[in-house]
Amino acid sequence: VLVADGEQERVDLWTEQLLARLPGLTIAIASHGPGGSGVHLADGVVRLDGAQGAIDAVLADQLGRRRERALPIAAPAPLWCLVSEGVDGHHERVKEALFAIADGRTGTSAAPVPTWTAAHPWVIVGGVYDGEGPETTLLTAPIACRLNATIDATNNIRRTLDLRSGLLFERADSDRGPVSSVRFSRLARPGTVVMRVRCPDGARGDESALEAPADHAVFDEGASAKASWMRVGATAGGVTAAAWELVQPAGDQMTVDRIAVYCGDTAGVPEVAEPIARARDAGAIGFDRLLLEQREAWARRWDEADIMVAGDDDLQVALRFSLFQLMASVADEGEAAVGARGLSGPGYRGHVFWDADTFVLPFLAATHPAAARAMLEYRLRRLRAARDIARHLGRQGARFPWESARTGLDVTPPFARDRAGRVVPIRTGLLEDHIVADVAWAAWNYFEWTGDEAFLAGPGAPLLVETARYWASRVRVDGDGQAHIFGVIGPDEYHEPVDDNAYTNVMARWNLRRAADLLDSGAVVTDEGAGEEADAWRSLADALIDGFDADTGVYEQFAGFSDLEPLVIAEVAPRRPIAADLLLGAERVHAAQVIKQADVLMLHHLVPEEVVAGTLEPNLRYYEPRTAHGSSLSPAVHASLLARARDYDSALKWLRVAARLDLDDLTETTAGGLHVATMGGVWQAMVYGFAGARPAHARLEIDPRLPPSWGGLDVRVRFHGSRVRIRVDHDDLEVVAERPIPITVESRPYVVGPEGVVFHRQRASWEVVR
Amino acid sequence: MTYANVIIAAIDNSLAARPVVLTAIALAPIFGASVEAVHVAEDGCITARGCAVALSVPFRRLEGDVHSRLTEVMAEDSVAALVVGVRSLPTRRRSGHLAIALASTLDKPVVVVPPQAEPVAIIHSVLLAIEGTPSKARALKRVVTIATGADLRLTVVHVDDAASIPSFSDQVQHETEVYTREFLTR
Repeated sequence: VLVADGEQERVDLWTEQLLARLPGLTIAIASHGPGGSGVHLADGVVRLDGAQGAIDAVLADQLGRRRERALPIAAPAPLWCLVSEGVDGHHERVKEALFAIADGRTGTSAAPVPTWTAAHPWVIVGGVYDGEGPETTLLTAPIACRLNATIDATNNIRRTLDLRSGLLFERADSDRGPVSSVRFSRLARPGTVVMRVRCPDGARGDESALEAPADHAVFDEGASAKASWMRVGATAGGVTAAAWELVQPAGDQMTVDRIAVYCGDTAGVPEVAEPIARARDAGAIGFDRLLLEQREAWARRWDEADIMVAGDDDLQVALRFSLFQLMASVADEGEAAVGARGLSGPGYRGHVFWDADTFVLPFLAATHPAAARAMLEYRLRRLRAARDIARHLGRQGARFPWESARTGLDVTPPFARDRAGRVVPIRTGLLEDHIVADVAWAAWNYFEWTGDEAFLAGPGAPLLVETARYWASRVRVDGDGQAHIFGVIGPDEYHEPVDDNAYTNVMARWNLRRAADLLDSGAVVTDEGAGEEADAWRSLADALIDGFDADTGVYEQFAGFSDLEPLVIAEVAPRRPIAADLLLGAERVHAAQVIKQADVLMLHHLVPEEVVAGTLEPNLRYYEPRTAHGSSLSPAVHASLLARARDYDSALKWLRVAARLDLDDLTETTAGGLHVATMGGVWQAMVYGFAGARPAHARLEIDPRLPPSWGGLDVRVRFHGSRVRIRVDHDDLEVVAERPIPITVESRPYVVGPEGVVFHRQRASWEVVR
Repeated sequence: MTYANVIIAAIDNSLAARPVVLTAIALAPIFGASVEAVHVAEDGCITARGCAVALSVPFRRLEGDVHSRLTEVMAEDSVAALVVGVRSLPTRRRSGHLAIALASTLDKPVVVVPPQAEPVAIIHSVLLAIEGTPSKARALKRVVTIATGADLRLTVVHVDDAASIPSFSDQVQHETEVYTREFLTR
């Protein structure tokens, strides 16, 4: 795109509206001599001095570079990249996770292209597991991004991750000389990894383009013309990889273009024909066009999901890193098993927790619904297993497992060693029942963002109805007519088992009511007696106690919580976040009012309509100081709620902890993969908390909370099929929608379309000005 | 090429001499080494020599500053490790000063033996306390190499204090696995 100099407004317009979408280079020609005439150059715009001659030179250079099959230049804009320099064997696996590339199906570590003893290269294919029961773990696949050169401690590695386009640039010194590369996982056609390497002649030897994974055995391997292949088998299914390659000399160097295609299957090890054909097809397309396609695909995703904060560059990069990982972690076709570490590492064995349903899914429901739908499809395809679990427990309906993998049966390990080396029983699999309502909430959240009534009344209905049936059989009614749920673990896992956990009870109540509404709406075809069942669910929901104390406005986290030792962790701990169970010991924590993460407050975050209005502040005041934030899920939720309560200093403090959790390896476990649920929480804090954008009652409610230190906030979501952009600063609020949608601002209804609506701050309220 | 195949048992004329030599003898098979007793004379050598003879290990007598002479001995290519005791007799200087000085300056393994120690004849397991810093991890790697070759059970202990205690502990059934894998890799 060429932008003439001297047209300030036009440049701004184009850069704002087009740059995020355009994969190419934007050039501003400064025709008035060096320095131009003061044209504002936005992020990503290159200034050229010298009018037409300059652009001719640029184009000639580009053509020359293409003929030479040169690497693209690693110069992403500062607010769009991560950069790492140096050789640090101690933190190598952390960097390999942070700079990993993924496409929703396949994740590849950022292990250097040359070999290095500190590196731990891996490739994983989402949803393909090996092993049975608690030992079920993600299968690791053949490695395609290595060459025959070696790094030692005296060398240097520079890695640059271009978040805008999903490109990993690397320059590594090796025993053979510098090895420069760019690689990406093909977002437009997941399961394809593309790499171009410029290296010293001889660095590409006769070895296979595919290397066996370290953790799993190769089933068989071979080669045909211009493609080698390797198959890795799992307990059920496996992965077959094929690599196409083109090697050409470049003076005393050589250029290697390599394209690897991964096919995973949970039924059997895929045959080689498909990945070989796909690899050859991609090879025929060629590196340059694949690169362009990659930039276009990522530009489209960013156009749906980017969040911009004015006045905090560090947070901006961390935010984009979170969004990038969320987008890269989830497939948008078929089913998507989103493990606790997404596709950024093998940690947590790829098991699927409530992290996926409650923390990751809302981002996708609001930006790329097809991916959220694929996550729900993962649950739906395991509905039979959830029914079996419920039946095994003597219940009805569907009981989803705390940890899920291939089969949908529970894969939570029953025992584990803690960091003190003690063997401890793990009871989350037995008792953390709230996962059932979390899955139902995810389906509802998807419906609220998309308005997809066909899903809710059709394939998605069991996620609400069968879960409600489970709760109906799980709840116990006492002689006074009060309903209880005994013996559970809430989100605060420091206390187990507990009775009448507020989060579990209120989420069950919400689940029963939504399912009853769905049955009563007539949208769902049911057996006779559905009306009676719905009535029974409503009665049961109304009878469920929730621990609310009208005098204080505080919900008791579980029966007896207020009788525990009144320790306020904010006062007794040297710092927070802190793993209070390790600081004080599990027994002491169990007997004290010390909690791991938001529990009652999760209700205010997820189902604000189910808690008494005006109770956010008293519960924040009571529970936040008692929260150790020892769960990586805690900081972002608190950031969101503190923003709602206008406690901006605290909100920003916890937002920064969440946004930098992996970038600073705050958990010391980032080497095993990134905390994608935390990243989902960061998005929720930005959208639900600060932008105050939330779908409810078929409208998009908008009620921003802008910290004084921010100049403005720009959020993009998709509501009921229409792309929506919300921009707010301290004076104005602008909402623009692709197609007319109903919104609510400060309880007043509006319809917003492509022309947008602008509100101006008048004292404490927003008034329409355009 | 000279192989490091001697363990030095640094002994004095104290009750600590015997457990020091016995410890060195127990360590010898782990290092694939023999034992030599070294005494830097301060006030005669009857007790020290007698201990070495009784336990059938060669004895070397040196004179001069204890720390300097032992450092010179440890610099010899054939020396693999040092075993040194802590005096049981009251002295003007703080007990253990020599052991601390040697352990903090030498780049070979130093084993410190308390005076009342009752060394086992065969060492099957080793408890290793580490701080968790990169430099300590490198030291640990050397110990792991030695322990692996000798079929020793190695238990690594890290004690968290208020400053080092982790910020987060999510799901213990997976956290420990990830932490352990990374720990062992490092």
